[in-house]
Amino acid sequence: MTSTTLTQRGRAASAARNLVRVAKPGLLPGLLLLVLFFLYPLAEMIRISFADPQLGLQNYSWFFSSEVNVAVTLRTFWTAFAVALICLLIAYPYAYVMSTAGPRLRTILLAVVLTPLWTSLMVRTLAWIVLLQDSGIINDALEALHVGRVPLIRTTTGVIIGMSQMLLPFMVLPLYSVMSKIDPKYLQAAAALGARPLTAFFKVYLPMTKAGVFAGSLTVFVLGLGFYIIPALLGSPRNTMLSALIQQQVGGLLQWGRGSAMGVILLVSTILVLAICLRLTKGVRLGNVGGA
Amino acid sequence: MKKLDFTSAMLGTAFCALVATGAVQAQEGVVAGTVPGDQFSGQTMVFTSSGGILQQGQQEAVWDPFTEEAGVTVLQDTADFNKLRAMVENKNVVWDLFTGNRYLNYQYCGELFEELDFSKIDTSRVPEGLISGECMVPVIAYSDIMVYNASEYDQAPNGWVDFFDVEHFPGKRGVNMSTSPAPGLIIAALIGDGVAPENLYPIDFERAFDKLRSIDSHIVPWSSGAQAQQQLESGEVSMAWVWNGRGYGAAQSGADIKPVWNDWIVAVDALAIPKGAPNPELSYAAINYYLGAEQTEKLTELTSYAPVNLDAEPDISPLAQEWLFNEERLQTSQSVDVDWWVENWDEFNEMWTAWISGY
Repeated sequence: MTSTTLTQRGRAASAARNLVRVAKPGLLPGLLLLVLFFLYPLAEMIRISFADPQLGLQNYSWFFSSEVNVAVTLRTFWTAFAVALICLLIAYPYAYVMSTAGPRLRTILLAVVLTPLWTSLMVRTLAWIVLLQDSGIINDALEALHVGRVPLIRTTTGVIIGMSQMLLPFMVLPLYSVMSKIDPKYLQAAAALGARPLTAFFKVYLPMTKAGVFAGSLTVFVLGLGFYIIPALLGSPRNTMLSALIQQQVGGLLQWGRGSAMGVILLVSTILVLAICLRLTKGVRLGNVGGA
Repeated sequence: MKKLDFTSAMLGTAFCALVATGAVQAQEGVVAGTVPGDQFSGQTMVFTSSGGILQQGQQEAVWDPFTEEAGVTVLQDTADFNKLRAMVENKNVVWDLFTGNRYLNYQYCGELFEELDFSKIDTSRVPEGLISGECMVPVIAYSDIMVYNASEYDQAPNGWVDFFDVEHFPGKRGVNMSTSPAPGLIIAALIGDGVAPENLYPIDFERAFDKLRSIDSHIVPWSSGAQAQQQLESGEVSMAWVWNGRGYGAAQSGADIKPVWNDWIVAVDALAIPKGAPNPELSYAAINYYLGAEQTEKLTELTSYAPVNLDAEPDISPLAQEWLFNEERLQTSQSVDVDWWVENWDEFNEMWTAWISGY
């Protein structure tokens, strides 16, 4: 090891330290905001869950002693999982077409995915009511096609349709970001080596998009867990998700302790699910998603 | 023993007499709908309500004239129990009047709400049964009522027993399955199962929910009043348990919907003074003004809620008359034992949530 490389290393290290020193004050406002408006309320919620109305575990024992709470929690996770799966099935081919399309088509496809994001959630949900209701356009069309009417509104199907549409961009974008970086030459090479298109897809292409699949699925899943308005408007009471029960405790009964405990339980179980997923996907570098 | 009884009887009589004089004095002192001079002139107060048609109506029927007569500026805000709890706990109450659910009002009486001094309010013309507990007067009154689509039935259904008789009266039933438990629906289910009104209490929750589950496949749930009305208008349901205003709304827009005034349930929202309100004397004056015949009359004309003053004679259409309760219809009503419900609310809420969630 020569002295020149050492000095170079030393310089690089001190440059990095300098950068941190400069960046630190720059981070302060952001950190302050995070502590004030995110960490503090979160800590307060955890405290209330143990301290309201009295100090103790009463809110948690109440939660687990009620069959309904546990069942609704499971339903919440199941619904979010189903939505993530459906989003994946729709978004994968969509993002693929986007990544291979010419610039004009790509812009159009991107706009189609993004436009709903710029429309209010309330307006979109009300639009879904119009479309899905028993006398709505979809059912009229199905009847005209001699398929017959299908109950859509106030069913699990209705909830999943609405949620999937709402969350689709969060699946398309990470997938597109990963796919756009894949060199088409890989697939050509696979074909040249004798792989049939399906084999090439499963052995070469799909593994390279893993990071996008996981990033998109986790985002959609986690966002889906907190849905409130769509299940309330497109579903029946039988589609109630945990957020509605939290609202019932806090808004309807002034039971802050119970509501907070439910929030903590949802948070902890989400973190658990994420941890398991990350463990299963060890080796997939989520850092690859996003960026140019 | 005998002597003691006599003494207590004497004391009791004396007490009654005192109370009676007090009441008379109160009625002489304050008259609903009037303003006590201009002692509050130039002051400002905040009134909270549930927004929409109701709050607009209250502004027009009560607070605009109040401003004119008493010189008080009335600001409007949206009532929220959680904000109120935070205000009271932080000792920073900025609301002078609070409109909300009467069960929570009863439960948190003395804690979030001031116990009212009824000598400062004239409640002599408030219909009986509309005041529950020490912390409220009625802000609006309405009805949990059975309605049916008259074009669907040759023979009109006549009460809750018919509501649950899906054999003789086929068709879907619109039912409140929101996350806010409704005591009125439980009472309807029990009467529908043959329980005599005088034997309703203690409420048999198992029996009531069993009755509701027995017509499960005939129920179309609703979770908001707008939804309930839409179900009636579109003909999706042939009968429904609704708030009278929603049935009226459906009838107004042309649906052939009729109310059944048998064993309907009196529903009330509470007007209260938040604990630690900045200017309680002004709050009292405002409540007393609110309860006036003229004010409630106007409010009814604007909102289609029943007046909370017996002297009110709102000028409303014959159709609206059909949908409002009055002194005569009160005879066939069921009022809710608020104290019992608040006492058992936790159990009720658990069973209600289980029922609506499908367990």
